[in-house]
Parts: sequence; C-alpha cells; structure tokens
Amino acid sequence: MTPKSRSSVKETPAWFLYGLLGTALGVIFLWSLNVGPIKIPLWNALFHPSSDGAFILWDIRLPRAILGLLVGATLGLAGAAMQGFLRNPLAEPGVLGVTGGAALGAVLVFYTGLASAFSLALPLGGILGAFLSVLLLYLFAGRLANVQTLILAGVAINVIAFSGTSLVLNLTKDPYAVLDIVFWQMGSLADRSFTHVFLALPFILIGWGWLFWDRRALDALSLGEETAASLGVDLKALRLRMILGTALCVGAAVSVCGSIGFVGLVVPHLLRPFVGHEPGKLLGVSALGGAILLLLADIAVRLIPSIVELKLGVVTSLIGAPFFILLIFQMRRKLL
Amino acid sequence: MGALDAAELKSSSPQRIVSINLCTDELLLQLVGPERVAALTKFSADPEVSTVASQAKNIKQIKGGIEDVQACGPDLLVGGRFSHKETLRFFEHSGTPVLTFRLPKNFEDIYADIRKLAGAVGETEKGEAIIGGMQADLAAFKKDSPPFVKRGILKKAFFFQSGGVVPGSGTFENAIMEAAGLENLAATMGIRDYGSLSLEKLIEMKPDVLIFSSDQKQKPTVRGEVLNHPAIRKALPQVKNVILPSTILICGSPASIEAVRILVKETNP
Repeated sequence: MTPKSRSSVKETPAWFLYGLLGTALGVIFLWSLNVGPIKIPLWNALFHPSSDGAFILWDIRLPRAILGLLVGATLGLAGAAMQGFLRNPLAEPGVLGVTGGAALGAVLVFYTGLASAFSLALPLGGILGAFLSVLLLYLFAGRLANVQTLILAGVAINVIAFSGTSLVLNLTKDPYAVLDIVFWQMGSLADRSFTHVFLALPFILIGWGWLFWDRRALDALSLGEETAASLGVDLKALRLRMILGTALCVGAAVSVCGSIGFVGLVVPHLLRPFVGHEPGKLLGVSALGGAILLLLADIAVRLIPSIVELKLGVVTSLIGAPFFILLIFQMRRKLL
Repeated sequence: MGALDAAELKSSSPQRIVSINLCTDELLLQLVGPERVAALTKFSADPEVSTVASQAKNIKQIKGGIEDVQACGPDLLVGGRFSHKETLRFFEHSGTPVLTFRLPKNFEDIYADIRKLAGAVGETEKGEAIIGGMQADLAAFKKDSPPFVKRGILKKAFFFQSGGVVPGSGTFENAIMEAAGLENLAATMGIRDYGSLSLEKLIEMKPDVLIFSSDQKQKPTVRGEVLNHPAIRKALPQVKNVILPSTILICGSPASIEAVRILVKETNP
C-alpha cells in the first residue's frame, strides 16, 4: 500500500468497529442456538435440564455454535495474517492449500486408525498437514513472490493434497469409509460435540496468540521488508511465528470440521477499507468477521430447505468463488 | 435380464460359470458346487465382506474385466446390473449367456433372484428348497415374536448408517426390520430409499432400538463417532444398540435371514 492510498481512506474508529462486530456476533450466536431441524423453546430448554430440548441445546447446538465461532474466527484471522505477511490480497488458507493439507493430514490419521488409538492424533494430524503445506508454500513462493508465483504454489499444494486424499480414497476398501471421507471433505459443523471443541480449542488459541503477536510487525512489513527490518522487526522470527500460528489454528480447525474455504479471502477484503488498510488492525476485525460469516453460513445451511442437509464448505465456496474471480479481474486490471 | 431368457436356459446345465459380482458369487455358491464355477470376484474369498469365503477359497478369483472373463471361457456369466457393465455387454453380444441381477428391495426379490439363477444353472429344486427354508425361518420369527408385536405395538427403530444416512421404505434394510417385527422410523417419517437424519430429529423420534453395521462401530470412520455423541447417551439412555455383522448386510441373500434372527433375538430379551 502506498502512503497516498492510506491517507485517502477515512478510518472507522476502532471501538465503534469492534462494538458493532461484537454485538452482531453475539446476536448471530444466539440465533444459531435457535436454529435446527426441530423447534425447541429455548426458555423451556434452559429451565428443564433433563428435557430433550435441553440435551439438544447443550449437547448439539451449543458445541456447534462454539465451533462455528472458533473455526470462522480462525479462518478470518489466518486469511488476514497471510494477506498481510505475504503482502498479497489473494492469500488465503483455502486458496493456498493449507486447508487441503490439513484435511489430508486428518484423513490419514483417521484411516491409519491412529485417531481411535488416541484422540489427540486428529488435531495433531491436521496441524502437521497444515504445517507442511505452509512450509511448502514459503519454499515454493519465497518471500518476494508476486501474485502469479504465489497462486501457482497454492495450486501445486492443493493438487498434492488432493491427490493424497484421492489415494486414500482409492486404497480404502470399505465403501462407507469412502463416503465418509468425501462428505467430511465438504466441511460441516453438524452433529459435533464438546469433545471436538475441547480437542481443537487449545491449539486454536495458541495459534491465534502467535498470529496476533505480530500485528505491529505486519504494519511495518507493509512498508517493505527492509524498512521493517530497520524498524527492528526480526523477519526470521516473524516468518516462523506466522507459519506455526497458521498451521496450529487452521490445522486444528480443519481436523474437526473438514475443509471450509474462502472465509479467509472474503472477510479481510470486506473489512480492509474500515481499518485504513493497516494489516495489523485488520487481524482482530477479520477474526470477528470470519466468525460472523461462518455462523451465518451455518444458519443458512440449516434454514435452506433441502432433502439432504447442505454442507457448510459447499456454501462458503459458493459465496467465495465468485468473489475470488472478481478479485482476479480487479488485479488483472492493475497488473496489465 | 441378459441376452438369453432364463426359460431358454432352464434345461441347460452350464459347467463353467463365471460371476463378476460379490452378491451373485454368494447366490451361485448356494446353488452349485465349486466344480461348476470357473471364477468368482476377488471379494468372494475375503471373510470381511463375503458370506461364502470358505467355499470360495479354492476357486479362481478375477477382477471382472473383459479379458479376465474371456480367459475363463465361461458358458454362463452372472453379474449385478451396475458393476462391470462393459463386460456384461461384451459377452451379451458375443453370444455367451449372461444373467444380470438388480439390488433386491425385499425378500420377494431375493426369492425371484434365486429362482432365476436356479433355473439358469438347472438346479430348480435346490432353489425352491432354499426359498422354502427362508420362508419357514421368517414365519418362525413371526410366531416367536412376543405378545406386543401381535398387539401391533412395534418397537421403533432406526438403522443408522454412515454419515447420518438412514434407509427408509423400499430398501432391503426396511424389509429386514419389518421381518424382525420392528417399525422403521425412517419409513414412518416418509423417507423413501435413503435419506439423511440429523441427531436432533433422531432424539425427537425417540427410537427404542438403534441398528448399526459392525464396521461402523468397530472401524474408525470420520462420521462413525456420531454414534457415540453424548446427546444420544443422555436423551436416550434406554435405547438398545444392535450391531449387525456387515458381511450379511452387503447383499440381499439367504444369509440375510441371519440379520433378521439377530434383530429378533436382541430386541426381545
């Protein structure tokens, strides 16, 4: 970003932005608790702790809403952080193959039986897959990658992850298991429990911590690497925290919910104008925005009448892909 | 139906029969001895999926491609309607007798399949004996059912499959449940063929029995863990879980009687 474009944008006050997004998130979270295939009166569920309504509220809908919040915030935050760090508006965990790598890791852990041996294997598998993907990405694309190299690296990683998953599908004898993997890959929050929340939560929180840590360094980085280094930013440490932070939160999120794409692309773009194009300030609001978007998509999945419940990842892709194409058109104009 | 009508084959007695579908493998070995079978599918000897694994052990196993089958020199080819279509079409056109079978949706369909294959291999009497045995078993289950079934109060059940899929009316699972004196709640809800069932709906319908296939419960599957969801444990503490071996569920065959037997035994203590 050039200083000129920065000064030309009028910044919305931070307290106002956080207040607005926070309130919206609260309302949507409560709405999410109220949506489901059967109607339960929330008051009844609250005051009759052993009614069916209470079990549905506390054991099915609450973990679902919490996971929606955690995963959405993770994807929004990781998208904003990657865009800031790579100084590239098309960077996003899904487009660049991090989500795909995490999904492959989780699927491998499932079908080697490791996941049933000890439950932590699942988030660890996802995290390892995500970690390898981010690592490959920075190896392929390097620090000063232009848009084309970065996207190509993302395509390559996505292809690797996809072939790996296809190989697992290919080698699986059990047709039910094949169906399972395919459905799981579409991404969903349906019928999760608190077990999933507690499995993913610690990793997600540590990942968030690492990504937030660098919000000022990302601001400095937007002025160029040399300027950032002269301002005292340790670029090596920054890169390491970015890789680990992204891998931890995205890997853990994907391992409990499957692949959910494009949240990290759409949300930072929508919110960037309101924070004066400063990547550091974008992190917090993108986390809130991601949570809002994913919870809304998850409500839509349950409200849209269909014989088989729509998969969340399918809905976010349907929203995100046209947006992606739009962005490419805009960038092409700039590049040419 | 293949190139030849079952009636035309009735008098003949093929000696080099090839089957390229696991379900026809099982049906075939019920009717003829291994000496008349030239080849079966590679699944036939796998005890994890086949109910005739021990009988199939010494028979040649093929994948079901055109060349595989040609090399066996078949005088009768049997298969399912939907697998290895190219092979079936090739041999129909080259004049080899070909018999194809649909997925059975109830026990009548199985009887019809047995009659069709028995006629084609010249074992009509053996076929009728198997059908008679199955009918007698099913009738015995009905008679043994406890009084509540006779009063028309059926136990309510879901057959919970991978990914929250439940079989409704018009499925073979439905026929098995009905034969065991259970009410298939998915059919009650109006699901035809297969539909999906959310956990919330499952709890609302208050089933007495949840049926699983064994590989869902035992092998790790991504969505298989839904079955251990705390909401099911809390809202349906009395629910009876019945696990059926997946081998007897893959094909509708005489072995399916075993599924009914297990259901009757487990749901009527």
